[in-house]
Amino acid sequence: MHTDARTLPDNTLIEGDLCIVGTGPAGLSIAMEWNNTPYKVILLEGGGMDYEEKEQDLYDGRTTGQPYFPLKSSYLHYFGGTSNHWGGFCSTFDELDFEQRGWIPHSGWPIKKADLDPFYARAHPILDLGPCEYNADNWQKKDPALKTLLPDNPIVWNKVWQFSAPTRFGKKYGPDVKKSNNLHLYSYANVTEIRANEAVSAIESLTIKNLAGKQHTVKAKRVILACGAIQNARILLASNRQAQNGLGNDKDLVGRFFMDHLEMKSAYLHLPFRDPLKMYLYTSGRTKMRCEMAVSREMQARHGILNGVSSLKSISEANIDTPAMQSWTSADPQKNGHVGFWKDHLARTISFVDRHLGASQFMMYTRIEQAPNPDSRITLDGVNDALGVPRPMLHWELTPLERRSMRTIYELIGRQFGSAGTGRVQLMDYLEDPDDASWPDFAGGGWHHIGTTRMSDDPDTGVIDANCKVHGLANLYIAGSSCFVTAGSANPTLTLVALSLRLSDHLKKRG
Amino acid sequence: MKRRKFILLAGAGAAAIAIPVALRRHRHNSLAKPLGQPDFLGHICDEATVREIGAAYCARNPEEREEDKLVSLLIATSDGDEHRAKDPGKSAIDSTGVLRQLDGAIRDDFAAGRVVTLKGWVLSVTEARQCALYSLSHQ
Repeated sequence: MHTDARTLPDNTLIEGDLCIVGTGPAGLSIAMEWNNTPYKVILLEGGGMDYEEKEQDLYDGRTTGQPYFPLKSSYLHYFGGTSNHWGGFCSTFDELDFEQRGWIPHSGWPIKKADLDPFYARAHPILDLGPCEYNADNWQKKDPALKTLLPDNPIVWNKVWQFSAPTRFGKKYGPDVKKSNNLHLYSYANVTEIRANEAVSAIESLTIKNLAGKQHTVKAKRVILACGAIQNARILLASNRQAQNGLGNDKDLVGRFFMDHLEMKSAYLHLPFRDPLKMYLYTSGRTKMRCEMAVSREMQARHGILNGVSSLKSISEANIDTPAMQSWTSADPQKNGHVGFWKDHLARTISFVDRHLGASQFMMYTRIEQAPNPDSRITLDGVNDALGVPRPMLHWELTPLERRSMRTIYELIGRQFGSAGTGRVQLMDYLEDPDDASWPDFAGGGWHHIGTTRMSDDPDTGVIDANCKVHGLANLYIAGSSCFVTAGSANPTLTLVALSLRLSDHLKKRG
Repeated sequence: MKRRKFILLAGAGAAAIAIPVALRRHRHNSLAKPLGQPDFLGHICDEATVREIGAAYCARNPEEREEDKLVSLLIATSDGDEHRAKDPGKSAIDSTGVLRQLDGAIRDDFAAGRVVTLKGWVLSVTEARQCALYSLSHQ
């Protein structure tokens, strides 16, 4: 069922067994797991059922450090959350993403990939993906037109990606939520403060407010924060009446280790023949799977580099591509991401031609994890939003390791093409430049907010434990990519949904 | 007698040196052109790019900035036991054989990590030398 919190009498008390704050992929994935159960689940959405400018403004904030997208337009504040502008790119994390890698400070999760594998399989239908199959050979057996440029070898391998339609969570799951007898969705219900008990050992209530001037109280046996890495950190930090540094922040870790993926044009691939490269090229709305080139664990360890992948786009299509950091410049999310009719038409025509005739020159795009960095962080700004909550401030900070890793990845891939005698790789100028401390002006992320409430069994090094419970607070849990310790080379949605399902199972087992 | 023997020996010695040198020079001259044409790069980039790569290699390796030196290095590469063993029926003197062996040497360079990055191109040292030779011979 659905209630507009603006229509409730002021100071209404809402009570339930489980409260989920946020209706994006993490929150709704968990909520649907609890549909038709005996438990009363309260689902809080700060915005409405559709985009509204004044609601979105509550997500605005400043950025400093490495230039980033306008914060306000990098995530969405209405039912379905950021899935409403999600691109649909999915792949699993690699086993090494969970390992403590000696060459990457602050790496290492308290769980392994094997712990998530069953949940990846369950996440697939939720995200409208195909079979949970991430072995390139098995895809090739089904479709012989899928040919690898480089066979998997000890240096480079083909990492499989799958593409969702993409799933808009609000549209897909909204009808079921509204029909449900035990899921109680409240829209216009912004959590402005979490109140703990006197000992600050458990959560007692949540304060929710809206722009209609109403304030309500929510009480639940367990609370899950699932509002994304920026808002999860912001709510904890802003709940500082009982804990000076904010809830769950005794060790000054909340908000730190903010990460995104670096997604950039990086190199050119030159082939002596034309090839449609069906295995590697992506056409929006058509492609169900493709491969990206990845570097083996052994090579990453030997060269001390981050995990990253390289994807291909024909040079003619790439040439009309404007880097996201130069095109996604408006604070209004509705004004970004529009390619324009003629440019879109041109891109589709080129894509059609390349698909049928093939191409011999390709742009190589990097997607690489950012090194976990405590100085890359979300803090509270001195300015409050319309509901009186301090606005978030992002200080995004990269390290030379990211750039050195990118260069090494292309040198390693270049060696493989040379060794196979099938092509040559040419780095873009900025990667050949040995100054790893500077970045070109098109350096940017993938709108992936990651890592602000990181997971660790040790309260000294993490905000949540391996079951996503906030250290020191008996009934407060976190869902979403803020839980990630490292960002992997894959986009976060599939993994954050898998992790959310795992949390849901954990809570169900506890009854 | 001793003097005569010395002259004969000296003549034989001179011939022993001069004939291989002449052969070598002839071989150098006949091979310089094909050696200076990187086959794979010729299929994927234009002449100006090959020259730029070659100039960049020379700038980074000034001790190799001579045609003879580069030809010697490339012949030595193609003469490598490893490559001859792969193609024992061919004399390294014929240009086709040399180029085929260079192709093998280039792949081996990549596999062994003997690579250089010049003007952004990730190249084998052998093909970078070929570019350098092309660049010097087309100045």
